[in-house]
Amino acid sequence: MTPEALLAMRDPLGAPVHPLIAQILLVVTYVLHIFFVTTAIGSLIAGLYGLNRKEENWQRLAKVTIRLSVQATGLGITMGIAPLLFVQVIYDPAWYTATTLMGLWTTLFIPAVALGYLFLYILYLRGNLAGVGYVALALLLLAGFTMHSLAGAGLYPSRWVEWYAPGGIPDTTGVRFFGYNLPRFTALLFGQAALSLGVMLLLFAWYFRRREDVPQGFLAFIQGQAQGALRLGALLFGAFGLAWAFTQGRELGLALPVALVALVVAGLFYLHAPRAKAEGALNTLALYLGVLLLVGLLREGMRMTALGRMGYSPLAYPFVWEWGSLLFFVATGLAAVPVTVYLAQVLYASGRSKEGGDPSPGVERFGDLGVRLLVGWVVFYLGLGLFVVVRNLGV
Amino acid sequence: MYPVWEGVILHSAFIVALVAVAHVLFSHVTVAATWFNWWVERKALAEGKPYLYDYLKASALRLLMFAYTLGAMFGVGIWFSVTASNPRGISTLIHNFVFYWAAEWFWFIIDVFGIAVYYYTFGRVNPKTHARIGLILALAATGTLAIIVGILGFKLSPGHWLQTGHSLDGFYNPTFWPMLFARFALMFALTALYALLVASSLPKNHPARAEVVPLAGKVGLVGLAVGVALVLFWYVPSLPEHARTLLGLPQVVQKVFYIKMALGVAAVALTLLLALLAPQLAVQRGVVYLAFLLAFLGLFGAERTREAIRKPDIILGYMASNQIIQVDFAPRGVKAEVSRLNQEGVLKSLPFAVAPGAKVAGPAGARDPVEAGRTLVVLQCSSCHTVSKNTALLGGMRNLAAMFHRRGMTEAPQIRAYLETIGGFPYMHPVVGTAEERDYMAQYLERLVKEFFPQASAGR
Ligand code: HEM
Repeated sequence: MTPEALLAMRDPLGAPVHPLIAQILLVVTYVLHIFFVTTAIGSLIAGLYGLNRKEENWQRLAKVTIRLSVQATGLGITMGIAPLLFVQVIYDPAWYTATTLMGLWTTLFIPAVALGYLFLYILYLRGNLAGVGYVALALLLLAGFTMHSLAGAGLYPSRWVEWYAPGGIPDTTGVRFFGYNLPRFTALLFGQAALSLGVMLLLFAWYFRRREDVPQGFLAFIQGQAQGALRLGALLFGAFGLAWAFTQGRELGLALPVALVALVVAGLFYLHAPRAKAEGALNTLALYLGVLLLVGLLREGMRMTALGRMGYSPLAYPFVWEWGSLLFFVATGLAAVPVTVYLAQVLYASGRSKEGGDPSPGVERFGDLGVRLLVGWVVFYLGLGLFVVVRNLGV
Repeated sequence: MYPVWEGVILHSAFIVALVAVAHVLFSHVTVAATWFNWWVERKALAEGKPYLYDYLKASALRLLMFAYTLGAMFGVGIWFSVTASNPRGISTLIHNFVFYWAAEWFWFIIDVFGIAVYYYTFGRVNPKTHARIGLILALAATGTLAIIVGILGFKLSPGHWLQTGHSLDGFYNPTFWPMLFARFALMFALTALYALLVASSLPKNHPARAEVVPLAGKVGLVGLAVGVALVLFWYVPSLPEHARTLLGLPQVVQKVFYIKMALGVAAVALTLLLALLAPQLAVQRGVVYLAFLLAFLGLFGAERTREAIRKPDIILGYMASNQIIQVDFAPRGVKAEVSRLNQEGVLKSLPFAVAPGAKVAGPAGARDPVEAGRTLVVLQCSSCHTVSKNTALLGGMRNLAAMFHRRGMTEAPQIRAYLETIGGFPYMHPVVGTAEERDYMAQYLERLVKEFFPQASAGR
């Protein structure tokens, strides 16, 4: 792969906005994605462990974390769609080379996710079918590993042709994995899974601290486990992050920044763990989101460096300002975001007591506004279409 | 141009089709079910029929478990399977419509989050709030359908986009309106089947059964009739001329496609009639599953037809199914790739067009002609044809070996001559590459025929 060939692989249509916007959206939505999927994996592992323990607290914790895992998986998958979009806009040469090289795994990815999710649901509804849970875990880990390999393979343009056609003979079956780095995978998945689990458990203890039907002893137990998870996450991320630094990091000339980030994250959470309390859960969450963003930026920097050596810069991606599509996006966001907030408010209110609870009148009014916004969107959508039709009549 | 993924055992295009149809079935059920349930919930409230909530709960749980896990996921699954099988096609869509998809993503979030909120707040918030969540779900689910219709239709009828390059022109394309309304109507037929299935899970004498089953029959039949009429009298006439021509070519759309579609429609119609006339019969699980199965077949026929009548292009009038850009596209200064590939050669131009010795300059002697031919055939033909034993389960898909064998062309010179003529078919583009490269292709194809039909060479 020559630099010219790599650049020539970019889509000739160019991007529909300045590439920096796509890149920012890519990193930010990746952070949301990884937050939820690592929560899913961490809580599933905790749930499966809890099912194995006899103590009542563990059994209860298992129930909580398995339910959390189900919801986090659904949201994690949904959040994954956004970075998936933006990575294809500015990194199409790397992304599509990876997806075709690993064609079989790319295709099996979603069936694995969907089945994993379904099994997770069965585990949740039946409560104690641990076997089903292990299958779900295996499938979700396979999915995570596939994602990891797709992201990793994109970093090595100089190896693509040899991977595709060893000895000059193309292998078009797509059955092999390329570009993976196990320390990176372990740090980003298992390390962050423990951290996410810790943060979510703290949030749980915080949310239920005022509910009389939830025993204080259980909440204290949860807080203790949260601290343990944070400490474990710090150790895993630190150890495997260093290993990542000295393997892939060194290959790409980035050993130092990777090692620094690994040590900072590990240090921060190792020191924070004993002080992490239910009352301060929101602070821990904020700290953690900051850390996830830092790691997300590190990943992105790594990709820019690796491809930059081949003369590829995402920021030099040709683009036009495609106003029609921006209008469509912004208008949809204006309708959808308030509605999403409203749904969260309803859920929040309904969990305040054992019997449920109604949202405040203010929230209800907000809900009515939400419905009007949605109807307004439909009008906008149809109206815009009619406008386009009429404008094209004359052509 | 990217590496080629041919598929394993099954041809990649066939895998895409399976995933796609599964998705269409589930997602259409979901979208209409949100409206149906909203209506039932209003009925429960307005007419004071709390027992209808049992139906709603049963429906929501199944939606949550199956429609969202399997259905919505497989939508993303189509995407993954096409990024593996036709990356430049999906890239064109992404670079045009990324923000439409990103807009759809907002609706996904509401769908996935909302159905969970909907399910967990049954009886935990006041009924009015709950019904509002139902309405929000219905509107958001409709939003996802509304957006994907524009992107899907674009592939078959890019319309003014070809001149202006504006995404809005591509989105609100000539088949956009009929497809929007036809899909919206047809999905109620599928949802009605789903409602029967849910009703059948309630106890035999549950009062909700008597309400829901006939309602499903009515709604479904109206949806089916309106939808089929829209397809026949609005959608088909608004297809580009090329597509309408292909509709009539049995090489492109085999008769069995039409049979499948008719069977699907008939089975659904009969089941829904049954729901009206003999509700007890219509909630027999066997009946409903059979109807679903035939509906699946019908959808398979319909979606495959929609994909087939676009041949030989992935984006009609812009990019061929084999990902080669066919025309200049002035709005973005894109140049057609065909002439360059014909002059400079595919092996020289494309980074993944490799074969032993292929990049070596000079006389062809340095190259392995058959392997070079394989690379070229894989690049140009494999998006629609089985071109190796890798993807030959049950004979493969439009297997080239079988096609040449049937025509009695088993030797390279005959095949070589034939290659020059395929551009004459309305559903194929001319082969690209230098004269030498076309020789290589013929040599590989000869080997392929002989791999599949060893007796062909022995007999001559
Ligand atoms: C529950 C199953 C999943 C798990 C465990 C998972 C895990 C991961 C992990 C660990 C990474 C980081 C990889 C690395 O940098 O080494 C990642 C990245 C990513 N995932 Fe997922 N993921 C899952 C599902 C999904 C789904 C369903 C989608 C798409 C709809 C998705 C889209 C992405 C994207 C686009 C990236 C970033 C790619 C990049 O920036 O290069 N993931 N995922």
